[in-house]
Amino acid sequence: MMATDLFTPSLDSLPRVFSLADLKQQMPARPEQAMELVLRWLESGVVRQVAPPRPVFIRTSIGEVQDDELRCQALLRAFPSLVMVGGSVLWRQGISNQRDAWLECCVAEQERDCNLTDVRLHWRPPAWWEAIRRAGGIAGEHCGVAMLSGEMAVADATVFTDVWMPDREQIDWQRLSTARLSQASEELRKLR
Amino acid sequence: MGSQGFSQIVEQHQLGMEAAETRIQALSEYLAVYRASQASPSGRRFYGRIRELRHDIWRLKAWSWYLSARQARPAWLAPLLVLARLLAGLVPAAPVRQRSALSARTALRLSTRSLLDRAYQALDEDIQGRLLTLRLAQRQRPATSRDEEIARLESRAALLAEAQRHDLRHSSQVAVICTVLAAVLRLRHWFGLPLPVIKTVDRT
Repeated sequence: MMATDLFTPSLDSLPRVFSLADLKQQMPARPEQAMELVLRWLESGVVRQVAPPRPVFIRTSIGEVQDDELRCQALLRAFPSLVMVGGSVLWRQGISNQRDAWLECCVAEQERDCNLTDVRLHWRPPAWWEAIRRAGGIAGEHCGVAMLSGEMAVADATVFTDVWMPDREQIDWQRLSTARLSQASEELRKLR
Repeated sequence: MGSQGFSQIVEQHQLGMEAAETRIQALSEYLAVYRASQASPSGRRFYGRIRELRHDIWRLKAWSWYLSARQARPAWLAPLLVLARLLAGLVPAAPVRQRSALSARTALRLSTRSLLDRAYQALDEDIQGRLLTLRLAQRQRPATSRDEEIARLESRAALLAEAQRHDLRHSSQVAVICTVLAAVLRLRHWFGLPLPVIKTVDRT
């Protein structure tokens, strides 16, 4: 069992989202003990592994609700290819009035187990990112996470059918360009 | 060197290839996302970054090819090693961030040493993450033994660290090898010639 001393970093000294490498940097003299320390924190429930087996952790406290910023920050550390899709995009861009219950995102990584609450990760092939680029399908970002454009989000949901979308009448179709929607659908259909 | 030493070296090469391939995949994904996320790609900075990422990917492919060749031992390997030894003195051993003339105001170029170091670190993080998950599961459910898997991962981590130390010790030669083979790969790519088949890594 590892003994704590003055040189053991406290959990409060770490950012809310951190990796094993961050912790090792705080313990330059004994980096091998970083894993033991994290294991102890995980067992006591004060941190959670964001997406096992990736060594990225989030500090937790009782009754705390994870806001968008924290979830996005944690997801980005674990999945660098993260892109927000589906109804999550439409609501955050004000194209739909219906709020998402889950944060819907796409990743290129095959292993996508995630311990965060209210997050759904979907896999997309590498060619998907190329198709998005060709169609100019990214429209800004939310808390650092790239977001699809409204048209691309609709096209993606139609082609892949695995993401949540609001009811049709809840979408402000006036804000979506038919030409761009058609181009986006054409690009994505090639992937099916 | 005994058979155990030889098998360890082979395993180190396999781990080096796995590190390079994992990093190539990560950089390729990042490149795709980076290109997609630029609404109106323009400017020297954007294209400089793209160029540097591609350059990194070619160098990693070259390293993976070299490690694969260490096992297959083709005829060009011996002259390449001689060349690497001869030119190693021209390459600074310390990690220096280079700025090429073209990218002076755009993107910083990573030295080969730093590039490979990051590849090894990324694979090490992956192994450490898996170890952590297994150890946690072991503590929570001690009835199910995961000792064998934990021992296997610990052995991989130790071999990886040894491979990393070895490459760092010979970083100048490694830089020459990566530069030469990356140039060959690029030329073959430009002329439409098939790229060498790199023996794929068994990740099981």
